[in-house]
Parts: sequence; structure tokens; C-alpha cells
Amino acid sequence: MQCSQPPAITDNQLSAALDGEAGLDVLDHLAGCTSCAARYAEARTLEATLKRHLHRFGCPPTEEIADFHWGLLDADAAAAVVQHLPICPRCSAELAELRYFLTDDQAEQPQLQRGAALHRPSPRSIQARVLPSQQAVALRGAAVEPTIAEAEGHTIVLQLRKEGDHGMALVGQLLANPTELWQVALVEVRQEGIVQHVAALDQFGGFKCYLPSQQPVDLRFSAKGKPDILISSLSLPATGG
Amino acid sequence: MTSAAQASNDDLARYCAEETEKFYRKLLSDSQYCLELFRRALVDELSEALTYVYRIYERQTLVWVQRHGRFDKTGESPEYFALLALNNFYFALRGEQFHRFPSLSHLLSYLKTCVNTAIVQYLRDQKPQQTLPLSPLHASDPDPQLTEAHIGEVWARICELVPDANEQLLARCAFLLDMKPRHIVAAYPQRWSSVREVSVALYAIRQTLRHDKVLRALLGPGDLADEVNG
Repeated sequence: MQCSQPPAITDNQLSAALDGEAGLDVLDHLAGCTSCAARYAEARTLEATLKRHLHRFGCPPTEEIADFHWGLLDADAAAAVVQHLPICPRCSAELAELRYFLTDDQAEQPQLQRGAALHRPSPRSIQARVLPSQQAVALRGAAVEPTIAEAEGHTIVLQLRKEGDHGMALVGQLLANPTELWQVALVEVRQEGIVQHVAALDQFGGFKCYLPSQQPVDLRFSAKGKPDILISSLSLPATGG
Repeated sequence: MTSAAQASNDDLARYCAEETEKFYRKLLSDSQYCLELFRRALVDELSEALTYVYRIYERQTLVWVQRHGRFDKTGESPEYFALLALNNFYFALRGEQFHRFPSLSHLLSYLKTCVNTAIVQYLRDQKPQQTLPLSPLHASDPDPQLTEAHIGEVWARICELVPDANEQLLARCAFLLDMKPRHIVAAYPQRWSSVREVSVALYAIRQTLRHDKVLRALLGPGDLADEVNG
């Protein structure tokens, strides 16, 4: 294909265009010449492909930069960060940003914030699907079928029990797949936006907490580095007494 | 008041909340109750104590999120980052790590650090968008996902092609960090004195990479190979 408006754009001009430094004459030429526009698109494809795959390659995670600031890294990890910072303006900027953020230590009365938006869908969380009751599996000793929810291969079993003087006990278990990725995990239970219970799951993925009422519950299961699993506005029938 | 160590969890939480309110009103406050509450939550791993920590400090964490300079760029709710920060604070400081923070102010600074980490890492994870394929023939080709090892090979190849230390730094700034020439000059004024100098050097690097068949093969088949082969 030949340039329709010779002379053709030079490779140097194309390189400048990739950096957003092209003059208006170059941009006009690219708009009007199919051949040069194709060359530019080719160069842009390579550029975009490299940037997409190499994005922050070799940079320590933000948490590691923070732990470096706090002196929490071992000697080797700290040395690696020290070596990395001079060749990485982005990581250096993140460290400076953290230090600036921490110096802003004015005491301020927090405006009351409710957890109303806790369970707004986020790309980083998985909304569990509550299964119809006929698909539930009875827990040993349970008089009423528990509620089962499913989230991308994980199963959550929940039951609400009346326990005399203690009130309403919510008992649950997260059956994660694979189990080892959720060995250190938290469950958070809210009612009407108020935190009712936060606890680490036990070795079997289980938890138990007492609730002040039978209001619908919002649950969130969190493990480090994993998307949260959410169950929103779940009404549970109570069993026992 | 009872001493912190002797107080029940409920009393401890109440005292902590009261002392926290005093702090916000710039009155003299006693940090022992909140410190003991954190200890019970993170070292003894008492769920009751952990619940109270979340209840008492969620508000402050939300404020920190909303005051972070880059929070608005995320498009997420403040609650998302506040809870992420609290969770990561727990994961990081549970057990023996807690003892590396000798005071309440240190603990709260670390919690604030977790807010920063949550937001900054979120933004960092927003990779540059995929360029649409140029050819209709490849319009349906999925964006190939490279493994970490594979990406390492790509970068290693680029370093082979560009062995000069200055040029490698330039390649790193341009392709790994997506920095514009003017920002590269601002970051390294002792190495490059003008945008023109950076642009000329980048042009040469791009020419080298563009004609390397090994690099093109590492980046995968499809529209890239076809277009670059032209």
C-alpha cells in the first residue's frame, strides 16, 4: 500500500505519535492516509501489547512497599525493594504517596457512615446464589433444612436456631474449593448495616454467632487475595427453641 | 474505670468507644482500652473483640478512604475499601505481628496504611486496556493471557535486545510503567535533559523490538504477528 499524501510519515514521527507528541500535521496526515494510518496502527498494536503484558512487571505489591515503610520486611525483601526503587518512579511515587497520606493525622470526628453500600456488587466480589430449598442437605441433628448458597464452586450452609436465653444463633460453614485457599478467612455478619459478628472461620470453615433479631442478614466471607463471597439480605427461618 | 486487662469485652469496647470520642474532640484520652481491645482481637483472636474493633473503627476507616487523594478514581464505594482495609489489617497483624506495633497510634497508622494499600493496589491492577484487533479476521481472537514466567521471558528478551542500562531503564519506563517522555525526563533529569532526547531514544528501541521475530513469537500469534510481519 502506498502513501496517498506523500511524503509518508516517518517512523520517527510514528514513534512520537505513540507518545502523544505528534504535531497537528502528522495527525492530519494519519486521518487522511490509509497507508500511513495502517503503519501507525501496527506500531500501536505492538506498543499496546507490550504495555498490557508487561504492566508493572517486577514491581513489588503495594502491600510490600507499605511493609517496607514499616520495617516489616525481612532483610532480603527489604534489600530487593531498596534496589527496585531507583529504577521505578511509580513505586517510588507510591512510597511517597503513602508517607504523605500518613502525615495527614488530623483528628476528625468521622461523619456517621452506615454499611448500606456494603453489598453493592463489585467486580472484586462474588454474589452467592441461594439454592431452592429442595436442593438443601440436612445438617446432622437439624430439625429444619438449612439454607444452602453456592458461589463459583464454594458452598455455604447456614442455619438460624433459637437457643433459649442466648437468642438467635446463626451457624454456618463455608465449604471452599479448594479448602486450603480459604484456611485463613473471615466471616462478617450484618443486620441493617450494623456489624453483628466478625470472626475467623474455624478449621472446618465454620462459625457461630448470636444475633439480636431475625432481621435479614448480610454475610461476607473474605480470604486474603481472594474475591469476597457475599450473601445479601438473606432471611432465614429459625429452628429449635 | 476498671483496668483494661480486667474489663469484660463489652466494657472494654464501651471504654474504647468513649476514649475514641474524647480523642476526636481533642480531649485528653486514654489509649489502654482500645489497645487491649485490639490485642484481644488480633492476638487472642476473640471474635467478640474483633467485632467491636470493626464496629468502632469502621467509621474512621471510611473517612480515611474518602480523604484518600485517589479514591475518586476507583469508581468503587468507600465501604468496599474500608472493609478490605480492615480485613487486610487483621490478616497482617494477627498473632505475633501485633507486637511489632507498641501503641494505639502505631496500630491506627497501620490501619490507615491498609486503606492506602487497598486503593493504590486496586488502581494498579487496572491494566492498560486491550487494543482492538486491526484486522476483521482476528476480531474474535481472545486476548492471550501470558503467565508470569512467560512475561519474564518477554522482558528478558527486551533486555537482550536493549543491553544498554540507560535504554533498559527507558524501556522499563515506557513499556512497564507506561510513562510519557515528559514524565521520564522529570523523573531522571540527570540522564535525559529533554523530551526530544527521550523520543529519539524510544524510536530506536521501538525499531529494534518491532523487527525481532523472537519477541513477536513470545507475544503470541494472531493480529500482532500478522500486522508486524507486513
